Amino acid sequence: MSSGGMSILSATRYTEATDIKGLIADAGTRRRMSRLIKMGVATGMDCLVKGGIGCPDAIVCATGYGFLADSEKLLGQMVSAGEEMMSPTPFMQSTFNSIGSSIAIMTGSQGANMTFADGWRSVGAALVFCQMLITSGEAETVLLVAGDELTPTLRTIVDRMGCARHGIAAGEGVAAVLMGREGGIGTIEEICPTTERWPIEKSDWAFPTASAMRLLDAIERKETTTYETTGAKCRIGF
Amino acid sequence: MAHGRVRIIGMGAVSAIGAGLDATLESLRAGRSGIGDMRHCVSHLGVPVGEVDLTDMEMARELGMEAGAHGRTTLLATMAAREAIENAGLDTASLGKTALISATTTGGMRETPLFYAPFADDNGRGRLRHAWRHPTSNHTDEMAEALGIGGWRTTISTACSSGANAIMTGAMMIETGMAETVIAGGADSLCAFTLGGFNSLKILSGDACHPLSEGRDGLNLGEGAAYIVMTADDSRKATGWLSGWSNANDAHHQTAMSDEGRGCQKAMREAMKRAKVTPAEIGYINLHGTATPNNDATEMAAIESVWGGEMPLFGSTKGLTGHTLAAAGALEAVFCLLGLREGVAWASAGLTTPMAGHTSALRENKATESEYALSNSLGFGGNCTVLILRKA
Repeated sequence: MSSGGMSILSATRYTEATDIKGLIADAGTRRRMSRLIKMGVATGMDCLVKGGIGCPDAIVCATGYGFLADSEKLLGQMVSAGEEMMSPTPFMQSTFNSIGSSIAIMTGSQGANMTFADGWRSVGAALVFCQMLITSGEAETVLLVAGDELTPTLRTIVDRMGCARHGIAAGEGVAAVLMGREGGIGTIEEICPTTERWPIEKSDWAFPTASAMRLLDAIERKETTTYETTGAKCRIGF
Repeated sequence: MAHGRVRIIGMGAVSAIGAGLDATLESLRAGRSGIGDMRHCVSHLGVPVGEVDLTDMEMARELGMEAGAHGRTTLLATMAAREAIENAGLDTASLGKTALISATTTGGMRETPLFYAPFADDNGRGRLRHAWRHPTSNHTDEMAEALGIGGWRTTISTACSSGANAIMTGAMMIETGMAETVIAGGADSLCAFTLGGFNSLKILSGDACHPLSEGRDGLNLGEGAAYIVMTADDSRKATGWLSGWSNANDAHHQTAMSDEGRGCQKAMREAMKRAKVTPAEIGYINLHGTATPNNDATEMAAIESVWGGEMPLFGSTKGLTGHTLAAAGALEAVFCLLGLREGVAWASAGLTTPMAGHTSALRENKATESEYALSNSLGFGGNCTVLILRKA
């Protein structure tokens, strides 16, 4: 079942050049943030700036494995010193919707705010949700932010699982797409849910939201194409 | 538009007040709380919790699943979803096309220390199967496989509003034609990690909690799972309706609501608009009502802004179950549906002296003919989700 299209107002990915200090102005906030939340918030804010929207109607996030660094910090505290010795800031920021809520606080966005924490299905689920928000008239503009972080522990686990032998590469990154009703650089159309279970590319096992990077690649190439991720497919049009 | 917008054809629940709808209803009628000492979870923190009184082994055996092969979140989820499926009368063929939206905050975190403790010592140690079960997506896959749920699936995690968000997303999928039948809800198991985390925020009570009471001093964590089955198939008998929903953001602070509870207000108003009801038509509100000083004060402020002097019957059920995190929004939707069916508004368990200057929450169960109940779920990150349930 498919529905009408969304306009792509802007699309960004996290790079070394992303101006974290400019995008997350408060030094104290930045210092407390883990890498993934910082990358995610900066990339999302960057996307809003480039799309010329200060406050999106809705924010939809996707992360395969969530905030591993903060979770690990807390686990370390717990196993070495006990539950009484866990720290509040990493705990707050380890909740899966931290990127979405931080952007909401920073932009004043009071609309829908959803996070899909669903392994390599996360990006597909998020796209389906974005579509539903726009076609139901719930939101005129929707910011999608998708990403995962690679920690030393995740890399070790990936290595121990023998992933390299199977061509499964660990990775990390964040991509953001700002969608609206019209007037953008391209369109995303005919988003349909699919029951594909497996990763589209092998490396999605280790870097679950890698498919969002491929979405960015397709948008940057400006070619009309079918885009497929686990759980959803659509057409990108230019 | 049908009688109540989205048709509900079944539900299932497991929590500290019972495994299954019958046991749950009995506890609700008796006002019997399930909060007490930890029996199955291991933690240094000696705080009261709302634990499901079943071991993993007992649940696995009950479900015919391999002992030791599944985490507790998966087992709780499978218990509740299995009941929902039976309750809805979904046969194997229908199940094969049914979508599943499950929410969790903990995923496999109860068992993750089994991997992490040895791993932290020596990165060559720690069994990978425990790491494999850590992600939030894992329980969704395991429950779907155990129960033969073959349609589209996803996992939502938005802290304490997760379960309500799963239900809302399921309803949206039905309304936009993305799915015909959806099982939606959430599950969370008690674990040392979450207990420690909440303890670090200083919002746990050392006693059984007192939602909506003067002098309340924090929440009790709980565990459980609940799912509802929704469908566009109007040949199926409705046991209730989901008439309205909304998710709004408070956009104030990561773990505290704005004084006026603006996100909660917005979500309540929009849900009622979607349900095409006025505040006066809501007969009962099941508050998020965790019993933290901040939540109950801000949530009451939000409700009073919307209802003014004409408060409906209201209360929190977290004094019975504890705060079940991702299960809460779904579990409390089930409590609302049971209440609508039975014609009862549930007492606000744990109520002592009502909050000064506010209408009192319900002290006893009260008979009501009302058509509509409204349920709030307010999560970390200012995430406010409201569901409006209607009698069948």
